[in-house]
Amino acid sequence: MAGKSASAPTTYNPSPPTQKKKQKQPIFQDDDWVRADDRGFHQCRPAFMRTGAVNAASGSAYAEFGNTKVIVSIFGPRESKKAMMYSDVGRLNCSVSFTTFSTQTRGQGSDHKEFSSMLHKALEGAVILESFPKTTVDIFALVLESGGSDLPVIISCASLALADAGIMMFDLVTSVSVSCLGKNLVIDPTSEEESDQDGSFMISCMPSRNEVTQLTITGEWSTSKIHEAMELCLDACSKLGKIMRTCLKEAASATE
Amino acid sequence: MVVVVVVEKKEEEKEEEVDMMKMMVTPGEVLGKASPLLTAGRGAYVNPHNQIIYASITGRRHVIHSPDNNNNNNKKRVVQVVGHKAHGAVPEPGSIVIARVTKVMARMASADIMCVGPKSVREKFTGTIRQQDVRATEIDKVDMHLSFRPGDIVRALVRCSAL
Repeated sequence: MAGKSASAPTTYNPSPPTQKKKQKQPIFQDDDWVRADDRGFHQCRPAFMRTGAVNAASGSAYAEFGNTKVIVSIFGPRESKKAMMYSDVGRLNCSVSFTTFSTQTRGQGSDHKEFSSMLHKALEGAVILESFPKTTVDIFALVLESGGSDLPVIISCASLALADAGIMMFDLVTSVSVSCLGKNLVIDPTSEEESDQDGSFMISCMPSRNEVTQLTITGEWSTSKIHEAMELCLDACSKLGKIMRTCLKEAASATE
Repeated sequence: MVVVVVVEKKEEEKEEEVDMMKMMVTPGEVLGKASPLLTAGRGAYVNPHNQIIYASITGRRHVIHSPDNNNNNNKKRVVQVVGHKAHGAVPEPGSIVIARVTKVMARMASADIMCVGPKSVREKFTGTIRQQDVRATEIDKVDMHLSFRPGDIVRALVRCSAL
């Protein structure tokens, strides 16, 4: 008994990570891999955004970034429910849901609680809540197709929809994410890249005020990498902001 | 960034204003620098950190003369954004509303708000008329049932709405 336990170690270790990685076959072979959609590492997917996608809503927007397709509709401001705690400022009620056919594996399109609260956090700093006291604005985001970087697209699209609804805002909110794959930083990742990432970095900001409303980092990051990712994201955010402003102006001019 | 400068010549002024009229802005765009001569009006706000006026809604940028002009050579201006699509009217303390009485109780009446100022509401808003707010004198002798009937249209002032 005693001899046996001496030969068999009492502790256990996972097999070395290098072996596992070789078996997994990452999507990138070495430094000079090409992204599946022929984009550069620092190149975003083409963005298409339009307001007024839903007639019944007070405001709405549709966004299509590559394969990621999102519709956000805004309702209200309407009277807050009696059961809610009293507050003299307005409230945002965010809800993010996925359609059953949005992902490769057909799932049930239920509410995504984590995205809902992240969306709320990203937007609440940018909306002038004092302009609609004691009332609630409902924000419903529906992901029609999930093609990666879903949350940043939802956030940007929601702020466009809020602007379309005429809700007073300090600034538009634009959001961009970056994935860390090995040594490389990849902007606006697709689902395949996201599933293989070592870490993700997402920033939501108000481009013309240069203020950040939300920052999410997962995985292991060095300070220099974070710095690089932030520079990339903020630059992309300000460019996305320009696209969104053009979209709003076109829509406003068309209705006149 | 465009800062409005009050110019001497009338023609130049007109030209400038026409130019301003054309400008479409979106939330977060800079409208000017706040000063005693230029303040933020509707659809605009001042960032207290740098005194810059930003737009808060989508619309056209308008610079108008300050409405409270007692003297003729008024140089005060207000920059505002005339929204192409503002959100529905929301009653807030101090607004004058038109409401329809829905339920009359011994100490209060419920009403559905139909208009806030000159605008009709898009969503449903409810309010209550308390017994002590019905008239200025003999407020404890008010009989709510003699004062209101369901269906009455009333014009009312929204009071401080602390529950």
